[in-house]
Amino acid sequence: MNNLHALQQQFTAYVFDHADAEALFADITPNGFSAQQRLNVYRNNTRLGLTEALKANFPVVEKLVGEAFFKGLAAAFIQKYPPATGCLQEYGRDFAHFIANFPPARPLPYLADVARLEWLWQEAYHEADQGKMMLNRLTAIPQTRHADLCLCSHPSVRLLVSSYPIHRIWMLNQDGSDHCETIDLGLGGDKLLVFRPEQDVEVDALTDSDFLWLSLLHSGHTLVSAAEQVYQLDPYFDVSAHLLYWLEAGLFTDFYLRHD
Amino acid sequence: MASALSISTAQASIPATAGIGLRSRHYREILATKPSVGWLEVHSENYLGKGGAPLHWLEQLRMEYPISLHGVSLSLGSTDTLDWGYLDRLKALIERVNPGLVSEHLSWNSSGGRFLNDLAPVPYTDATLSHLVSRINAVQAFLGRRILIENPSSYLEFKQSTYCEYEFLNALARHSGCGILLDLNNVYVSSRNHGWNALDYIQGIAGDCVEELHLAGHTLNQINGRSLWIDTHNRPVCDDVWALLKHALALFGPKPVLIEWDSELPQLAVLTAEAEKASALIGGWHE
Repeated sequence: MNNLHALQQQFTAYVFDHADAEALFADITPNGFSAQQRLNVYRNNTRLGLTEALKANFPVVEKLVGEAFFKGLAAAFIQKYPPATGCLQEYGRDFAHFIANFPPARPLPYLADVARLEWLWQEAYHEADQGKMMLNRLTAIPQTRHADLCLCSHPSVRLLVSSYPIHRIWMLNQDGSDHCETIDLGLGGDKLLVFRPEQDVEVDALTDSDFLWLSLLHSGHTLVSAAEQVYQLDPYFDVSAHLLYWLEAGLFTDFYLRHD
Repeated sequence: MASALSISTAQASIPATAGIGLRSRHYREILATKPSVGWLEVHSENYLGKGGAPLHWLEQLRMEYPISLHGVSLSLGSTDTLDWGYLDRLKALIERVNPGLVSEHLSWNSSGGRFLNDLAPVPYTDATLSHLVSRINAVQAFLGRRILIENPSSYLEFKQSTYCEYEFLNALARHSGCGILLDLNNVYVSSRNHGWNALDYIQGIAGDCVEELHLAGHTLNQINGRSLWIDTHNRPVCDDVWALLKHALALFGPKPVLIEWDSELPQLAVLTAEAEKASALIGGWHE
């Protein structure tokens, strides 16, 4: 008979890999059902439970492909990327990547990016809380140090670029949206900010210059260096208006002065 | 956190009345209407994030109701190493929420780092017992508190077993000092599936170790013309399980009783009506 370790290895391989489990079958009391029928309850519960978890984390992907396609997609994903955690809100990190390489999803080239957006939404939803920074903290910085000023963005901030109009796709497929329209994929791509100032996650489509500016600040560029690069794209970019707007929105939570 | 002070001073212990499982869809309604349930139980896993809405709502609900933390993925019966990352997060949640009870399952759900998302049974042997006792001891030492262990619903039994399930749970409680969370629906489902006698089970369990009772609904499946009961938590508690509750209360005295409902979630009023029914039975015991 199997010891506990071997038994669990075979059980898990049966559930995820559909592996042969003759030795495990021999350990199970039949009592009216075959060992296989009894084990299949666990295999089905796992598949159904994880499919539900993916559906909860990727509701727009599910809406776009429909229930039947999603079931097949989820089953293939679960087999290749079984969860490495019991916290199911953290399951699906690789879903977008998997979709991008899933041949049956090829007719929907934007699907992987929609999954990417939904994953970032999910991450932002559970990220740490942090209050907004007061503007007067910036005014206290001596002028001689202005060139060294860097801003810390809220922990929930995520930035995403797509070649497809995924913001529109995502918006039209939210619960409660009764809009029905055809989206022209030729409309071009999106540059998105995902961010949770308090409890609600916001998804904003940004202009090219705003996206560049926030990306530079988010990756640790000084305010001055970010401005210089944005001016090359948009000479009329109003740094102070943008700074005030995003400070007010709670996007910046702290600052530091860079040391050379 | 702004609310930390009030949380630490809020009443934490779980009363011997009926509580309900808290699900996100009911957050606002519970806070707005304050239904007269004695306490709330949550799945720990849903509150292990760093922040955001789930913790925000839980901290507000904590002001109104004692909270019990019920874990589903510690995988105590697994031969994988204990998940210390998970335990760190659980400990932080315990410090934040100050729960009256913390519970887990007599089961495993991960092997080789893969998580089954289902509570799988272990063979009830001396080897499994010492494995579980050492893991429960480690967890209780790390968390600095006693935990409760719940009997699972099961769909198979191992030939290796030398204990019946309630004997095994009793031994586990005796050797590790853990309490027992007796899920009466699971007793019912497993008894039906394996031909056990549910009343023998309840009479056999160490009543002085039982700290909490669970009630839930199940589903009857037909496989090739034979019945298999599945623990689905998607419907009202059945009459037979209510009858088991009466037996259990007569044997153990008043205990906290939880109404669990996890899928096909009904209106809050349906849950509170089930809780009132349980409360009436708990109250009836006093008379």
